Amino acid sequence: MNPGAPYLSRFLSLLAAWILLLMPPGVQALPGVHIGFQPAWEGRYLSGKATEVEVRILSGTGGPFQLILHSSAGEVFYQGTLEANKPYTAWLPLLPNPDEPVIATLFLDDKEIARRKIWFSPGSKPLTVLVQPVSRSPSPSTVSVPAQRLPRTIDGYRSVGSLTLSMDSLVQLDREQLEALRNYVGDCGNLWLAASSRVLSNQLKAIAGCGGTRIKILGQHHVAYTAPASASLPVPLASPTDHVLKPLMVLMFLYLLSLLLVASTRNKAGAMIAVPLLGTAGLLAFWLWQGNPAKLSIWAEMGSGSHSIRYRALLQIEGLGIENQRQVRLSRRLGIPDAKGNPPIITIEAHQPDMASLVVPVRPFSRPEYHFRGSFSAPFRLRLDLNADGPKVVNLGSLRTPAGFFTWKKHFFRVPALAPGQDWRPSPDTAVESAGPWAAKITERSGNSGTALVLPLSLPDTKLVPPDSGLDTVDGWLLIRPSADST
Amino acid sequence: MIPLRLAAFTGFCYTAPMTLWILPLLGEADSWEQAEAVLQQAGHAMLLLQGLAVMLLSPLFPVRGSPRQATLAVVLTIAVPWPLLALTWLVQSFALAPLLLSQLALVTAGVLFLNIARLPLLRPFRSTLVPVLQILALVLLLKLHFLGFTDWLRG
Repeated sequence: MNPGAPYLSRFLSLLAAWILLLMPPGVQALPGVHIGFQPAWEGRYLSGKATEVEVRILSGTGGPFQLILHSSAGEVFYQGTLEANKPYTAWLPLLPNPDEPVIATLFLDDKEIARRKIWFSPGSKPLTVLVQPVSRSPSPSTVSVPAQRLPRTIDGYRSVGSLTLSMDSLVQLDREQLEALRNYVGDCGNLWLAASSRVLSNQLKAIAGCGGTRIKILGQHHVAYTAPASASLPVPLASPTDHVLKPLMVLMFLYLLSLLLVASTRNKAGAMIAVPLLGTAGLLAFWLWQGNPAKLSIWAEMGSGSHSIRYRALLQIEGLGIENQRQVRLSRRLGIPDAKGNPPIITIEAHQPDMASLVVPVRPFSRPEYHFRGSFSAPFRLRLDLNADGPKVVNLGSLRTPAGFFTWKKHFFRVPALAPGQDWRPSPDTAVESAGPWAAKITERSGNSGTALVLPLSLPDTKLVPPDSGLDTVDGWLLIRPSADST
Repeated sequence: MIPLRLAAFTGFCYTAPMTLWILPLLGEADSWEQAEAVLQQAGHAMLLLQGLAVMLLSPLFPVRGSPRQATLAVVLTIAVPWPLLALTWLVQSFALAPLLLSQLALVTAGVLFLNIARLPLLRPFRSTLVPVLQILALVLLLKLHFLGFTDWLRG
């Protein structure tokens, strides 16, 4: 096999992408409509991950438009309104398929006016990103971009293995770029700071995940990094899959029992014939009544005193009803999920840029799953101290914390809601047998010290799910470790 | 035993084991494709069992009850597994129209057999006729089954 073949194919696909970008926009679009796409990281991304594309539209006529970014791995629908002769720019997440280009179709007033192919270069290694003016000898996985090209969605960072940028670049970033970068470092992304001050790096470490160990200053000596226990987060517990079956079993059991009873005790033909008819009607009614319940489970972790929480979320839809799709509204901070079963279909509306709708095709007995990951700002500040007197939990924030569980020396304790400034220590009278279905996971994730605080996460705390999400159940837990375990 | 009671118990005897077989398999299915495959197999087996039950029992019903009771007994023999067949339709293993037609065909065949056995002309030969009818029906049913007649139920 020719060792240069991957580089040649990458070069050719990049060349094709540039030719498409440089082509006069009128080639495939109506006269007066210019549309251009600028993929993040020059079109390079980690195969199977989401990425981002910058879309620029200039039209001689205004009106509502819809842009569809389609690949067999997923679809993104974007709806907005164009103003005549005014450039429109949007940064959209998308999920390319490694074997094909993404097809972008623009509709203006419900008429298709342009169709383009966007080429991406899939890779098998995470990207090393250098934000100019920082430079280094190029390698196949190194990308050098100016600060203004840094992503504005969290999906833009899915392929990034490490990011190197200077103080000058950092101050050039706009609000959306900073938010995306914050999510990246909050989820333990590697960040190298060039010519940075210790004050700045300490500020960044405070909002970073993994106790800030993934943020380093370029040129300083660093001990080889070893991943702490908190570096990888577990997927939330899946809901039991037999809850569909139990009602069905009960229904069938009752039906067969009533058939036996009626056949044994009654001689009337009408009564005997009525049993199967009622049984069939009952099963159909059960199916119509069920719907397609959607459940979001969130498992989140943070270090004591940290400002950032890392999470993994699992969205499960149970295909029980007769509807063939289910729609849920989620925050765009969740990004494009990894899907098991069905490619995700995302709808984003320009007038609600922070929200996205996920449309899930559902069939009976199908159980589509969507996995999300990222980080969010801690709604409350709790410090977990381990000292000679035993552990102590202190509420340093301005909000009352919810009641939860505390694990220490393989025992569970019930922690009451803590008012601002209040502290709490475990005592025998607060000990409980177990922390419910999450007990095993809490023990597993409590780190070397075996000490952790676990609190229920409510919807407003996470800011990941709007009140009108359409979800049937949301189940979230936050585990807080002592600082020593986080680093 | 009256024909209706016999029909109900027969229906129970083949529907209960099928239910116990299908539901755990559905619990293990984690996709629509798996559930559809399970229910399709179950649906084919159920139609064969319905056919066997109606062909073996319907010539016997006239001996044991009134014509009306005998006809209702044929219907009841077929109707007992209807909730399970409704499930195969919901999961789209079978299309509705062919499924309804298959049930209608089974009822018609059962009533036909019933009336052949009741013909006054053939009454003297009933003791020989009934087993012959049952064997003929059984052969016909198995022939249709192995020819894949249930495939068209998918619609």
